[in-house]
Amino acid sequence: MTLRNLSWADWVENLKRRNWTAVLCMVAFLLSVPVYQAMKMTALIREQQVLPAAFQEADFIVSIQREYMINISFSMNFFVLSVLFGLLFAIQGFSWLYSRKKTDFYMSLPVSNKRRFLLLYLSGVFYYMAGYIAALLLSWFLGSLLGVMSLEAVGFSLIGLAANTVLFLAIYHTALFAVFLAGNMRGAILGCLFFLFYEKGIQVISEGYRNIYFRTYVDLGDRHSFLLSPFFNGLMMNQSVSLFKNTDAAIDAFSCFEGIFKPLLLLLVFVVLSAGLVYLAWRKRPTESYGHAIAVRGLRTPFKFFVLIPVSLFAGLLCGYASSDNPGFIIFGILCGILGGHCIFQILYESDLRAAWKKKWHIPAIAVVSLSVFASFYFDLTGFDRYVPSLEEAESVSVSLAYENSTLFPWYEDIGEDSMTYSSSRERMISQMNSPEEETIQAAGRMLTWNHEHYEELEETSSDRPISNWVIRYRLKNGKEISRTIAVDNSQVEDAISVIMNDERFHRTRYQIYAPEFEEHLDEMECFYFNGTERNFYTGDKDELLKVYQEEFKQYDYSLLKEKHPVGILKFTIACGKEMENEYEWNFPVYDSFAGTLALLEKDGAVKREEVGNFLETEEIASLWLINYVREGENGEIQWLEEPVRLLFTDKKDIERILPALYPGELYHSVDSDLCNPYDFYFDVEINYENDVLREKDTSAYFVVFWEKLPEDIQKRMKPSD
Amino acid sequence: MIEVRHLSKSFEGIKAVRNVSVIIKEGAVFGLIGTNGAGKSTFLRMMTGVLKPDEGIVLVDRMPVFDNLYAKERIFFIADEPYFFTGACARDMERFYRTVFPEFDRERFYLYLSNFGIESRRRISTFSKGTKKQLAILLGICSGAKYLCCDETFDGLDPVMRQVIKSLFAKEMEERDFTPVIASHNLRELEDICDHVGLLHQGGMILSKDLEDMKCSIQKVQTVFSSQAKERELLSQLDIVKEERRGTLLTLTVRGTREETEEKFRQSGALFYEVLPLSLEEIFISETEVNGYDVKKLILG
Repeated sequence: MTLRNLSWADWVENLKRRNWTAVLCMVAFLLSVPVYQAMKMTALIREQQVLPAAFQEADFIVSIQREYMINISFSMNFFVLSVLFGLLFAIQGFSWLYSRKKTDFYMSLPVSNKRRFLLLYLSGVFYYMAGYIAALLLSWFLGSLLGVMSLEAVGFSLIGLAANTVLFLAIYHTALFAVFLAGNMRGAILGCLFFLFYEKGIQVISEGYRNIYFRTYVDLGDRHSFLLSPFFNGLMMNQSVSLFKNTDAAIDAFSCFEGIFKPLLLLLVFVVLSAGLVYLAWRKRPTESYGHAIAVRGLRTPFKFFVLIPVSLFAGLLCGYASSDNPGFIIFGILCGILGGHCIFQILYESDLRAAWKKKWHIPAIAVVSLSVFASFYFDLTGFDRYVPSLEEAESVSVSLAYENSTLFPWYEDIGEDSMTYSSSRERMISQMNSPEEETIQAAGRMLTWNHEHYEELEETSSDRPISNWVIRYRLKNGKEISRTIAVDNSQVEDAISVIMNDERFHRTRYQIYAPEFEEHLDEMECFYFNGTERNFYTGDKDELLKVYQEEFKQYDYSLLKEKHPVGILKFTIACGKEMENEYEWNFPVYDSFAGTLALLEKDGAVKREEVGNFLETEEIASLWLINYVREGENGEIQWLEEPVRLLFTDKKDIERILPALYPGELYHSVDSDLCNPYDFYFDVEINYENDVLREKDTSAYFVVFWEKLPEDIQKRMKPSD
Repeated sequence: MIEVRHLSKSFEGIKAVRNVSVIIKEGAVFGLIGTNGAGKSTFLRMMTGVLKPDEGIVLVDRMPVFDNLYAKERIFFIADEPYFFTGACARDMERFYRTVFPEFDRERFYLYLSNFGIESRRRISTFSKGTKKQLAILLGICSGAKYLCCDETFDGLDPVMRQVIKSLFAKEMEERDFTPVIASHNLRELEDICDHVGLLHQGGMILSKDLEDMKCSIQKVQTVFSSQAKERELLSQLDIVKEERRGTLLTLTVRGTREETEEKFRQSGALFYEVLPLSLEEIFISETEVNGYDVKKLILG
């Protein structure tokens, strides 16, 4: 039997019986693509026309052309329509399998099974393509009328047609497989849901339990590809292109295809493999299975197990969320999930309420599996938290502070673009650092081991313990990646932190000052020195300054952070955009040990040597308030005061003694505060400047208080009286 | 010829048809009798290639029928509840069948439609149950298929219509190579139509014979004897299936050919004897009793 035998009369007869779905598909495509997009573009163009002429730029046309191009190629509309009609055509086209009357009719006709399958299968594809192509042609036409169409858009939308057809086929095949495995409509719909969402469900459940019971588990926001779920791959594909609507027109729109390559490839492989599976299911499906929940009786129990195990674990997770992860409640939830699920399955299988308690042996069997899975998380039977990749296993390691507490390095900018794009420090460190240094890999391992051995101790630790949080990702030689998040006591793993912070890849990845493009654009930049209260322009040789600073900044590691606070910040700024309307800024700390840098700044007049490290002068201050918010309890615990202790100092001698304990807050927060000597945030200072100072200085700068540096008598006076 | 060899089919562990072998010859009306749940529909659905047998094979003109369009072109199946497309009229169904049965006789179809008084443009869903069955039979006859398998199709048709259909079958059988296979749970429905009858019980074929052969091997005789001695003597020579007495009038159902039986009565010196026609029911009773079945319970209720 060949396609030749699918005569026109067959198509016409088939269309007659499925005309409402074909019409629905055509109307849905026409309304949601050309009509909707044309209305949207018209509204945008009208909006623009009422603005003053100055705002009506050519850029606008380019940007709406870009938007239109993406909207008629990849968008949520296409995703929804592909999923919807993939499901509808599969279920509607083959729903006759669920009726004895219809099965008797169709199966007794002199039509081979292959021909019957091809006719129904291909007509589903044909109706989808017909709707899509009609919508696309009309979109091109309307786009041309509105002036938002381009040759690029034609090519782009044809690629969209191919990609979305692959998505449709993947969904169609999934639904067909479910339809052939089911014996009634209810079974088919549930089967579709099962195949489309099972993999995601497993991911969610696994993530939920890892979050609760694996203390070093971290979700780094990686976008996982789905091997079995075309739904989520299709969603990723359309979303990743839709994001390009908001990018600058200068960026080549076709570059967005990098993002869709992997999900599209997976969808394509899925379509090819599932086609064979679908045909096999069609051939092997017993005709007499109409009316049953599952066509092949032998699949009933495995299917039930495959669904009920994750469902019960999910019910456990829900109970866990409602009870602050109480294990008793989680087990209760799992058992409830099994009981409820078992009854529902039996009722669905037998279509009889009285069947709810049949096959009772399934309940303990599922409970054993579900509780074993729970136990594997609860007792960490897989050794997730204990596992530290050895030097032989690890290819490289990336390490980053878990929370970026410095204001200097939170972002990494793409220099040289009109509109810079940023990546967060953590994201960049984890994806780019990849240090192959053995010392760094071992240091990360020492931190992991320390965390594992002292975890309970860390849970009860007091707030003044120098704790820092880290994220580590190993890339193993076998291609796998292992991510962990840990907290460590800096004083206990000092050497490991130092090794990591001194790693060249750590420096180059985290600090953009070492990036070649930074040097390339240095001429376009302006340079300033900021000492916490004043900002001075640097007019000297920026290349020389950068080279000296790059060398001295290599000192920036844990030992420096622990011992010292910066005396100032070196700022580099660059203006971008056509009108130079955007300004971007990089800040780097300057310590008193950066002699070369300070010498160049002093030579240029940006710094006065005698002022380095002196942030305030006694003469500048009229008075200051010291405020204490806490008291020490009988057991040494901190108690917040209802009425803070506030002391006013107006005597210049007192002020002079207090000043060494004050430090500019902006400088303090500029570096990694998790790793430096902490200031006492239970205390505050309010400074009232002399009148003549108010005009010259940035008096809005705020200061933090180092309690230990305060004179003893003042410390005593600051303590609340009982 | 349809040849059924060792056909078996189970549904969820229940044997619906077990090891059935039968040959349906061309040019005769084959009746398939059985109670509800005897396996008639399952048998017919396997015979027409709707269901795949668990065991055994069905050969239609020496071709396996399952998923074989050449074999299926020769068989038309009318299910107990015939299916018509939603919103379709007789004309739509004719158009559809024309695309799948290359020998479909369009002219004859419309001729029969008008003869039966069925409107070709009226929606089938508005037809009565009997009219739907008539339409299904007409479609089947006009499809050009050699074998027409009807599952309980005659049940519910009025006697006039049954006669019309019967004559239609006879006409078709006369004009072309046509073999109807009719399944029914009611023996009396098939009495005047079938040439060959198969009896299905609990999935097994317990009898399959030509009606003429059956009629020839069993006789019904009314007789009156002059003395009890003569009567006893003759009765001891006969293979009696059934005996009824009203006064001196004795009605006997006996095995044997007409000639043998008449000869025995002639020689016995009976005052009067007459060979009467046998009903299908009576034939069945006699035939199935041999196998230890109580046919009254099986098919007469």
